[in-house]
Amino acid sequence: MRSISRRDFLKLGAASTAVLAVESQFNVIAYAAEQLIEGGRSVTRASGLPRSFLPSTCMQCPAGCGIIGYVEESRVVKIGGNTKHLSNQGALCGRGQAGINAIYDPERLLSPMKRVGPRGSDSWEQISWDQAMEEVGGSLASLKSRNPRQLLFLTDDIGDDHLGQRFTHAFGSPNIIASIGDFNANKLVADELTWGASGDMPDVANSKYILIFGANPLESNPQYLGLSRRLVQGIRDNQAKVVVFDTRLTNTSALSNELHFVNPGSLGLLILTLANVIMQEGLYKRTFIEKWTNVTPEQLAQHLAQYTPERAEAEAGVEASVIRTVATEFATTAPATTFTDQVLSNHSSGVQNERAAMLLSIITGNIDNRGGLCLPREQELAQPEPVPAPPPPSALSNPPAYPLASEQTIAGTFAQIQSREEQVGVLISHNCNPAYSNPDLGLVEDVLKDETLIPYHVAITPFLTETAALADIILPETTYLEDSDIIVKPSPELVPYVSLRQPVVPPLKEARPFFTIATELAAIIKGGMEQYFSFKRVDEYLSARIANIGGLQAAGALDYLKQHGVWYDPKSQPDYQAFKQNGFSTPSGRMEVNSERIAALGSPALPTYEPVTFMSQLGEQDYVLTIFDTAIQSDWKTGNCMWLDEILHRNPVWMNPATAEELGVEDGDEVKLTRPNNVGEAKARSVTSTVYLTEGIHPKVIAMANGVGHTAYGRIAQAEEIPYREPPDVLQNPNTEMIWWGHEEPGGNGVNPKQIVPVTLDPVGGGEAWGDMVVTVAKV
Amino acid sequence: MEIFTGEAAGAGPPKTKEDEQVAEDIRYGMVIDVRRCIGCQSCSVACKAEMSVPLEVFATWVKIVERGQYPDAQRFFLPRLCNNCENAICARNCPTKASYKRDDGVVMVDEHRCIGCKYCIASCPYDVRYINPFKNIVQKCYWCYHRLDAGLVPACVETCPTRAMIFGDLNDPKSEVSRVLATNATQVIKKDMQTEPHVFYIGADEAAMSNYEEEINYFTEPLFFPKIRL
Repeated sequence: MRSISRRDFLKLGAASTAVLAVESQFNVIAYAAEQLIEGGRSVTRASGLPRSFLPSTCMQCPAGCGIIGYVEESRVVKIGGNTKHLSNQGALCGRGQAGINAIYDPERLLSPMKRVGPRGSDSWEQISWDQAMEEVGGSLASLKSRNPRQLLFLTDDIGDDHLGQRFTHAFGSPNIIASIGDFNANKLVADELTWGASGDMPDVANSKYILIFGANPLESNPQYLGLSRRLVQGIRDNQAKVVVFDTRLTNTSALSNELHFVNPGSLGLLILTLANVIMQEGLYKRTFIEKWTNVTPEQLAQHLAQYTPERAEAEAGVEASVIRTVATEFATTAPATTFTDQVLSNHSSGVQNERAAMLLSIITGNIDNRGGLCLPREQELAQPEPVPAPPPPSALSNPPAYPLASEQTIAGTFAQIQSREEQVGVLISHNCNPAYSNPDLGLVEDVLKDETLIPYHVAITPFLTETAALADIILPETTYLEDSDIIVKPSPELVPYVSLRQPVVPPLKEARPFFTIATELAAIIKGGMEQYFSFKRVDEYLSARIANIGGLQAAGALDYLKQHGVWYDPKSQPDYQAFKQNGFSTPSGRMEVNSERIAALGSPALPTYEPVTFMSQLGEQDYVLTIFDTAIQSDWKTGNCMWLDEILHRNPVWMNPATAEELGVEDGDEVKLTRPNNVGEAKARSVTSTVYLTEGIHPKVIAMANGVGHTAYGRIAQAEEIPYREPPDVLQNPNTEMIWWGHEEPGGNGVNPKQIVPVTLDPVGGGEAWGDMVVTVAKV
Repeated sequence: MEIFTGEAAGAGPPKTKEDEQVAEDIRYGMVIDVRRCIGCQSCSVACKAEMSVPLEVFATWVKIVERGQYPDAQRFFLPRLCNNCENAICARNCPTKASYKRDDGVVMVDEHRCIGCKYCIASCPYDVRYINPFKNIVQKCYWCYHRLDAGLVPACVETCPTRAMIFGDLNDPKSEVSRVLATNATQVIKKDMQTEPHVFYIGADEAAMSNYEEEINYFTEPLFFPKIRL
C-alpha cells in the first residue's frame, strides 16, 4: 500500500494556504486542486502517475466558471474547478464536469455535412472542408454583393460571441440575435431604466436579510456557482435570514428560513404591498429617496397606498400579518437585499414586476452597498482595430415595437420572419438551438423548413441539434474544450475579472474552432470584410481583446492567462456606492423610479401591478404551467451529456395531491396539458406527460423541468436505440450502450413543453412571458 | 482578511515535532454539513468522472427527500456514499478477502480477487456497493484513495460548491475534520448497526436517514426527483 506521510500532507496543505492567503482578497475555497497551478500534481487512478492539466473557461451554462482540464494521452479525462477563478473558486457543478460527455459525444460531427434530401429529412453527405467553405463562402459573397443586411446570425449569447458579432457587422448586417438574451430580457430593461445598467448582483454573502421572489439561485441562475456559493455563505456563515415567496418548493427554499406560497402571477402585487407597508410604517430611508431617486417619499407613499395587505391577502394568498412582519424585518435589518431573476420578469408585466422589486431595495437604502443590491461589475474588453461599424438597425435587430429592449432577443424573431417583416438571405446558426429553446417550436420549425423564408441555412455547431437538423450545410466546429476566447461575466465577488478559454486538447479530427471558420470565410467573402479578420493567429486576436487592461498587461498579458486561466486585480476591493461620486448612468443621474421612458410606451411611470387577466381569474380546470430550470440541465446545451441525463432525463408534471384529487388522477397517470383558447397561439396545442405528486407546489400550479424531451441531438439526448453513425475510435464509449432510461418507457426522455407556449412578449421589455402559461389538464 | 477555509486535508496550524511523530497513524474521516448542501449533485458527477463509474450505478449521490404537507412541505438533502466503517461487515464477510480495510481506514475492493458473489452487498446496511456492469465485480466509494495517496482530498469534496463536505485525519486533533467533530453534534446512519461509520453528518434530517428503501443502484426514477414521504 502506498501511503503519504503526514509531513508531505502538511507541506501540500500549508503551501496552498500560503499562496491563497497572499494572492486572494476573497473567501477562497481552497480545498480544490489547489496546488496544481503552483506545480503540484494530479494523479490518475489506474497508474497513480501525474497527469497534465490546463486552465480554461466552462461553457456548459452562461456562468463561465474557471475550469481545469486534466489530460492523459491527449484525452480530457476529467474537468475540475480552477481555485483561482473568482466566480467558482475551485468548485465545479455537475454540468461543468460533464463537459467530457460533450467533447466525446459519440455522435459528434467531425466533418462537414451537406443535406441531400429535403430539409429536416436527416439525409446528409459528408463533404470536404474545401468544398464546404467554397459553398458557404460563395453564398455569403454573393449575398454580400447583393444585400448584406439579409444575413441573420443567431447565437446563444452575444457577450460570449464577440467574434460572431464582429463577423456579422463586418459583413454589413445588424442582425445578430441572441437566444440567451431572452432569459432575463425584461429584467435587464427594468434595471437599465432604473439605474442605467443591465442586470444586478445581490451581495448575498454579506447580507443579513435576503428576500427572494420566485428565484431559485441554488438550482439555476446566470451566475450559478458563484452566486449559490455566496448565498450559502450568507445563510450559514453570515447568519442571514432568507425569506422566499414562490409557487413551488425548490432547493433554494429548502435552505431558507421561510417559504410563503403565493398565487401564481401575483408576485408583483405582493412586492408592492411590502413596499407600501414600509412607506406607511415610516420605515423608509428618506434621505436616500430624496437624494438618489426622482420621486419624493410622499409621492411614493400615495401611489403605493392602493396595495393594502388585505388586498394582497385576498389576491396573492399571503396572510396580511405575514406581509407586515416581512416588510418590517426587511426594512429594519441591515444590510438587506432582494433577489430576483427570470421567474419574476418572464411575464407580460415583467418590467413592472422587476421595477417593483428594485423599489424595495431603493426605499430601504440597500443600493450598491455591502450586503445590498449591487450594480453588476464586469471587466470591459477592447475591440480589436479596425472595428467594424455596426450597420443601421433593422426590424429584426431592433424591433420597432420594443425600443427599450437592450439586447436583441430571439423569442419574437421567427414570427417576424414568417410575417416577412424582413427578408433573410442566409441564416447562420452558431452554437444555439432555437428549435428547442424558443416558444412555439412549431413556428420555428415551419420557418426553418421554408426555403422562401430561409433560402440558405448554415449551422456552425459540433452537434446535430434540433436546429442543425434543419440546416442545408453543417460546419463542425470544436467544442469549448478545444476552443479559445476571452470571457468576462458580471463578477459575483463584485471585483471584475477576465477569464481565458484555451484548448485543453487539440481539435478532434476535422473539427475547426469558430475563429478559424470565421477568418477563412472572411478571406473568401472579401468585399472589404477580410480587413477585420487579418489576425495571423488566434493569440493575436485574444491579445487585442485584453490590450486595454493595464494590470493584466503588467502581470504578463496573454501568457499570464494561459498559465492561470483568470486574472483580476489582487489588490482590488468592491467599490461600493461609487454612484455617490458619479451618480447613476440614467438621464437624470438618479434612480428613475418614476420613468418617463416607460410612460412614453403607455405603461405606468411608477412601478405598478398589472395583473394578467387569464392568470388572476383561472377557471376550474385551468392551471398555471411553470417550466423550471435545474442545476442538472442547461436548457438545450447539456442534452447530450449522459451523466446529466442519467440524473434528469424526463419531466413528469409536478402536481399537488389536492389538484390530483380534483382532476381524478393519481401518481404516474398520463395527463394531457392543453392551452386554452384565450392564451395566444402556438402551432402545438397540447403535450402529454405523467403525473408526479408533490406537496411542494401551489394547488393552482403545475410544473415541468426544462432541459429534456429532445427530438434530435443524438441517441443520448433522445434515449433512443436509433441507428446512428458508427463513431470513430476517439468517440467510442461502452457507456453509450448502457442508457437505462428508454425512449419508449413511460415518461421516456421527457417532452418539451415549450412547444405549446405561444410567443407572448412583455409590451415594454420585449422578453418572452414564459410565466404567463395557463393550461387545462385532463386525464388521458 | 477572512478566509473561507485555507486548509487542505490533514493540514492544521504550523506543524510541530509532535505532529511528525504521529505521521504514519492516519485515520481518515468525513463530515458532511447537510445545512450547506444544495442538492446540486456535483459530487455525484465528480465521482463518475474520477472513478469511471458506469451508467446504471452510483458510488456517491445526493438523496432528496420531501416531507410535510402543503403549505408546510420541506425538502431535505442527504449526500450518500460508503461510510468506510471501522467495523466493516462487508470486508469481514468477503469469502475471497477481496474486500479489506487499509490502515488509514479506507475500505477497499481488490478487483483481481473479487468474484462478484455479492456477499458484501448483502452485508452492507447502506446500499453503497454495486456490481460494475462491465467487469461483473463489486465496486464502491474508496474515498479516492489514489488522490489521498497523492495528498489530495476526494473528488466529491474538492468539487462541492458550498463546502458541505470536510475531509481529513480523525487522529489529528488539529485537523479541520477533528475540530468540526469536537465542536458540533453529529449523526451517523444506522448507528444501531454498530458499524462505526467514518462519515458523520451535521444537521441531517432524521427521517431521511432512517427511512431506507431507496435502492439507489436499482433505478426506477431519476435521481433528481425527491423521494416523497408524507
